[in-house]
Amino acid sequence: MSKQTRKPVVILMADDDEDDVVLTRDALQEARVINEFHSVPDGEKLLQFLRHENDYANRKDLPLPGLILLDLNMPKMDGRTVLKIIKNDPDLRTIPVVVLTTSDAEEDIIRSYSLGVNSYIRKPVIFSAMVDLMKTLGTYWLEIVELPPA
Amino acid sequence: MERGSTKLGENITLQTWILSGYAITLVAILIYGWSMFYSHQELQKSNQRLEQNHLIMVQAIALTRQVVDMETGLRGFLITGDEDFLEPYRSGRLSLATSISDLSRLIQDDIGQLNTLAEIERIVSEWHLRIANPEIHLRYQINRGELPLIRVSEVVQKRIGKKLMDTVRQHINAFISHEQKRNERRRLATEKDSENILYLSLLGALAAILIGATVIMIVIRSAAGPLTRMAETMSQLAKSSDFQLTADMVPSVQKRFLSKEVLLLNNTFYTMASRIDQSIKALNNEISQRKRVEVRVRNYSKMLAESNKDLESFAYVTSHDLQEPLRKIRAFGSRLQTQFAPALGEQGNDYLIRMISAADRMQQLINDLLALSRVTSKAKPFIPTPLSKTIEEVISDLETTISQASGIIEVDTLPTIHADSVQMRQLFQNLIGNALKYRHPDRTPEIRILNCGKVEEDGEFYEFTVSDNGIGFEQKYAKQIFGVFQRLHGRKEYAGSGIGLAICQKIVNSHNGHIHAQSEPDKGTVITIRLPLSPIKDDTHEQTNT
Repeated sequence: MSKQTRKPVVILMADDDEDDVVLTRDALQEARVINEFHSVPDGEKLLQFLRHENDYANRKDLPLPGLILLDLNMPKMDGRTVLKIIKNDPDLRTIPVVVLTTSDAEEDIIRSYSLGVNSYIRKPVIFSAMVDLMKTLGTYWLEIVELPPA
Repeated sequence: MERGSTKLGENITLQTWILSGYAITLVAILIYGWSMFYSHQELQKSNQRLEQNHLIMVQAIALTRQVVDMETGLRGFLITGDEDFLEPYRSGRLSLATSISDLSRLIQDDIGQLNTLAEIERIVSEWHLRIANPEIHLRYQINRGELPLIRVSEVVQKRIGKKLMDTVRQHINAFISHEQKRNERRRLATEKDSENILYLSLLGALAAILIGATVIMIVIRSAAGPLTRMAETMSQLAKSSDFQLTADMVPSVQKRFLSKEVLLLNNTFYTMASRIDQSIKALNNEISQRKRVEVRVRNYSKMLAESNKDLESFAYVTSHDLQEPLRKIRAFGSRLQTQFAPALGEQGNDYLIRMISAADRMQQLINDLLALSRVTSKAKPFIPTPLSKTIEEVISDLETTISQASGIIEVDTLPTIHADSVQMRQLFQNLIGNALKYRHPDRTPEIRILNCGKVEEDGEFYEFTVSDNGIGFEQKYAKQIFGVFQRLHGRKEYAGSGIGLAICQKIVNSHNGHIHAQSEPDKGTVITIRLPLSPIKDDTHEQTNT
């Protein structure tokens, strides 16, 4: 019942790797997660998207996401920096952020959680695992948990 | 003379020099002494002759007196008739005869004088015969009164006797003057002789002094001079800081009159000095060269360590980064397979399967490389590691595989060593895993881990072996199997990329140990490992890569 009343959540992916964006989009489709999906190539653009600046001024077409998939290693502004800014911004800190990265460095994991990340996930190597991950993510973040109203 | 052109003295020993110098001086003194003695004798002889001469003259003068005595005696007897006067005549006659015989004896070598003497004797005899005897007889007749006294004056006045005697006196005078002349000659000669002897003795003394001095000079020169110079050079060398023999320290050796030993000593000394000088120079050269080499080696080791570090981090980073595109290849391959398989057709699907399988293999290789580089990049500090416990854990991990192969594992009690415990676990896991993997199809796998005890080799080592009864391999591959991605079997026969033993070797090396394999096809393999009891951790293994 409540599911239907909910406003569909927008998923925003911040990753400079277009392949990964394509694969993630495919994996989401495969996992039948049909939520609106957007992507930005770096940290700066992510902030612009969240703050409706420059190319992302159109609030109607580009609403605030309900879930951010964040890569750590990006050009211009990397995931660590942008994570810190988001979690320090009272308007944005409520948006759940899932780090999706290839880095398995302990330091990155610890730092991300201390900055307030909601989940830290390593990018799966095999596509089927990616599909499984998207399925799980969709179930958990989009169906199970209650998110604050946008 | 041994060599053709040796200079005087080169082969004469110092002893010979001194002895011959002494001999020459001695001979000179002897000659001088003998000549002095001879001269003295000669002088004595001429003195004797002078004395004899004098004697002759005295006798000759006596002769004159005797003649006068005889004349006077005869005249007195004639005048007085007294026989007493005849006494001097008679004694004069006797002594004259004696004197003449004496004289003739004294001058026996002078024929001229002998003749004169004989003439005197003849005239005196004639005088006796013709004058004295008749006159004496006459006087006796007068004394007896047989003749008158006047006959005396007649006889006397005839002066025959006087004439004869005057002749005698003339002869005697001639004789004397002859002797006088001779005497004068001899006296002069003797004087000259003594003068000569004086000069000769002075000259001889001078010569002896000169010879002696020369000999002493030569001896000094043959030994003392070079020795002094050597001593000076030695003290100069001793004072100099680097024992450097400069050209001015080597005197130009005057080889003449140098004694054999001194020449030898001299040559040996300067040869030795220049050899020492050369040796020191060579030594200094060697030292500086070694220092340079040392610095170079140190630089090389540093460069090598750095390059190793670079290479390892390169391997790590590369394999890490290579994974990214590979992941895409595999992912899109998989998308292609699931979504577009019908469209690709049979051949297309085959290619796709091969591509995906190659990508999977590449992923495996990258994982292996990462595992290998983690041996150094993820190294942990060495802690006391009980190897028995480590192996227990490994066996428990491999339990499924072991039971599937119904393998038997026997393990000795192993010591506790200082090591990276994670790596030790990996080491035994790879070794036991290999023993199971390469088991013989017809036999139950038997794996033995034996404790061989302590081994002394550049420090204390523990040796243990992991042996199996598997398929083994030819011993010529014993080194090769530890290489990265070295395989002895096709991928279809045995899976794996051939990294296991390479990791084992890297682990053992990073613990400063040794690992080697002994094997025979169809018999089995023995892997021997030596690990130091407390390995000194190498700096190059302490780096940590991200």
